[in-house]
Amino acid sequence: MYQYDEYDQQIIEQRSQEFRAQVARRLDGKLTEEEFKPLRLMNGLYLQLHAYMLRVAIPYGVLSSSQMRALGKIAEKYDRGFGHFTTRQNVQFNWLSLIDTPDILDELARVQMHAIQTSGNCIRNITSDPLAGVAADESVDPRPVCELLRQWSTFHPEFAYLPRKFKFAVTGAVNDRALIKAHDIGLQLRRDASNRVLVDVWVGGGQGRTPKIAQLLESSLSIDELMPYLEAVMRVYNQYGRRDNKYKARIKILVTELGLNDFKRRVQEEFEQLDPGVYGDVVALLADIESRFMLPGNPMVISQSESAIPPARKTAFESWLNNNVKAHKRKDQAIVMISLKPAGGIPGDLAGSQMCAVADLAEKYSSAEIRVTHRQNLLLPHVSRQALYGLWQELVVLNLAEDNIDMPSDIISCPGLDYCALATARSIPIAQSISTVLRGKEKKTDLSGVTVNISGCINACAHHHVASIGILGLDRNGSENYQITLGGRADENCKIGERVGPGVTGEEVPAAIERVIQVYIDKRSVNESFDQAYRRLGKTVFKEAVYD
Amino acid sequence: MTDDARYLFIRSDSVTLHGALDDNSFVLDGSTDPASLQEFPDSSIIVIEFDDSSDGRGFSLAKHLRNRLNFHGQLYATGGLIPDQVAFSFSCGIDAVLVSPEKQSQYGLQTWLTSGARQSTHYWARGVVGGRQAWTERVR
Repeated sequence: MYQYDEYDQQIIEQRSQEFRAQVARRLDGKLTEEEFKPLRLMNGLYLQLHAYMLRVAIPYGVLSSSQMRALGKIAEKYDRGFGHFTTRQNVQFNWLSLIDTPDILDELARVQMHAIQTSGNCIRNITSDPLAGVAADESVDPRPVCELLRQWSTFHPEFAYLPRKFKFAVTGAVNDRALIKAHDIGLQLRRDASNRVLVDVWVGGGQGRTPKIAQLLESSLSIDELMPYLEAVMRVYNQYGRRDNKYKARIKILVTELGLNDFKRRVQEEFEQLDPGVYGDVVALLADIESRFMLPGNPMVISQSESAIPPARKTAFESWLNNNVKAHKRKDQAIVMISLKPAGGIPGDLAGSQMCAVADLAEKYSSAEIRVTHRQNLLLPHVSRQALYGLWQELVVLNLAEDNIDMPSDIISCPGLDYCALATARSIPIAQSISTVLRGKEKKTDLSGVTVNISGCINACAHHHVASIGILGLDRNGSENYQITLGGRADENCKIGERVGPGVTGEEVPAAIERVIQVYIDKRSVNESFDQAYRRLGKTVFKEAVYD
Repeated sequence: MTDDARYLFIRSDSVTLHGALDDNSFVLDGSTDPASLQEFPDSSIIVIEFDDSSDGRGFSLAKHLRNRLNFHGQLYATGGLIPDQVAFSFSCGIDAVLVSPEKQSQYGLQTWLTSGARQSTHYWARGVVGGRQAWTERVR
């Protein structure tokens, strides 16, 4: 992972000191909550239903063992013993006291972490493929570009007060695991025939109340052109994005209202006026950043022959291998997914003690590196294939070996009405009920790739629009009501799901989802994905299952 | 803006002084469409008036004046800016932030006097240096 230099370190320490002074002014009454609000939001501190919530940035989802251990200690010392990993590869602490937050930011700064720009109308945490640098299907490692974007966007003087929040996602692989087409800007890195890195820029994707799939704005930019091009896009958005209505302020609305061609023309005009020399030698900058990425050490080899596995454990181990272990670009290594979705559990939550245990495992098995995925799970990116059985045994002891990655019980859920001040319905308890009901079914038949995402309001933090089965919790005359959408997709063929009909009650949701999945099981063709089956069979048969 | 207002001028060269606004200044609202602007003579004084602190259009307007229209005269910002935005203003090519008496008392003189130095280490602190962004100096 990227190692800070003195410059990076100084920035976050200074920020932490500033925030300590601001909190002191708030606590002694010199700042009202109204005055304090924009200041705390610039440091990722929200006031939720029950307490302050701090959203800590995990740039492009990469964590070291020492950072994970620091998060675990914060969970135990300042929160109620756990943290919540989010779809933007960040972590949130939900039960904090204001008076503790300056100390928390200091503890984060000691491990090169912060909460800067995790809220507010600015460029937020840059997200990426959680398999960056290790994926077998990758042509360009996106992490140096992500880090360049992180530095460029941190306290960018011109783009800190945009019409609305702004989200970047970057991938360098053919299979999109970063959801680039559902972001304000998605970058696809690839190589041309002579091995030069090229960038395709997608714009105007997003979810929320107006879901949109991003459109291709520019293809085949050279890496030298990337920074001025993005500067041009941001300037056009900052100048012309709507500020009269927060629900129409995202760049997707500007692109829709102007039309892609007019938007593109404005960007091009701005781009042509910008001097690429101003950004220096981006190739050299990227090389410098790359040199600051910790190279994985040689993976630990634990020579435990799999033939020594007791027969009674063999089935469970093999199921975990099939479901949770992914192909690494090196044949002798593997990527190990750690599900944070035990049946009946709270999606994305992890106890502080478990965070510390994962940190230890990463040190032992994965060159002290951990990734956070946008599906609210963790992964260990550098595990020797020889060590898989040993690692699995340790994960079993920690209750972290649930083998349900990319299955229906691997639910993405927002905090919903249990925590969030914006929520209109609960999402966590519904997710818990659904995973309890579905876990048995998916053990009997292959349901890999069927995703279930539940959001507790129209803002769609849990990405319900792009799930195979999406659930949206709303408030209908004081009662929680859940709309179901079907046929979404969150990969390179990103699709928005269709609403099947009127909402149902929370109690009805798990059985309705189970019936929908049974229709898919009964009627699918060989290797047919859920969205393909949905489009072939049509809405009616699934709709009948929902309201059966 | 009233002619007799005693503004606090927080200047990018660290000299802070009180003064009134020159009557001959061009006042541009932060929301001005940059495409509507013609070039200004370098002898002019331009004041960008920010509606409120959440509206960052004035920062792009300043960059437009400096980089697209090659304006080399005095460029000021005033209006709804908060102390946190002073360093950002300087990085966008603004020479001074003009703080009204009302804003001076709202945030306190001391907060304004130290505002220009805030975030002095951020990646963009010095804005454009010798035609290149300051961050490029980091390459070892």
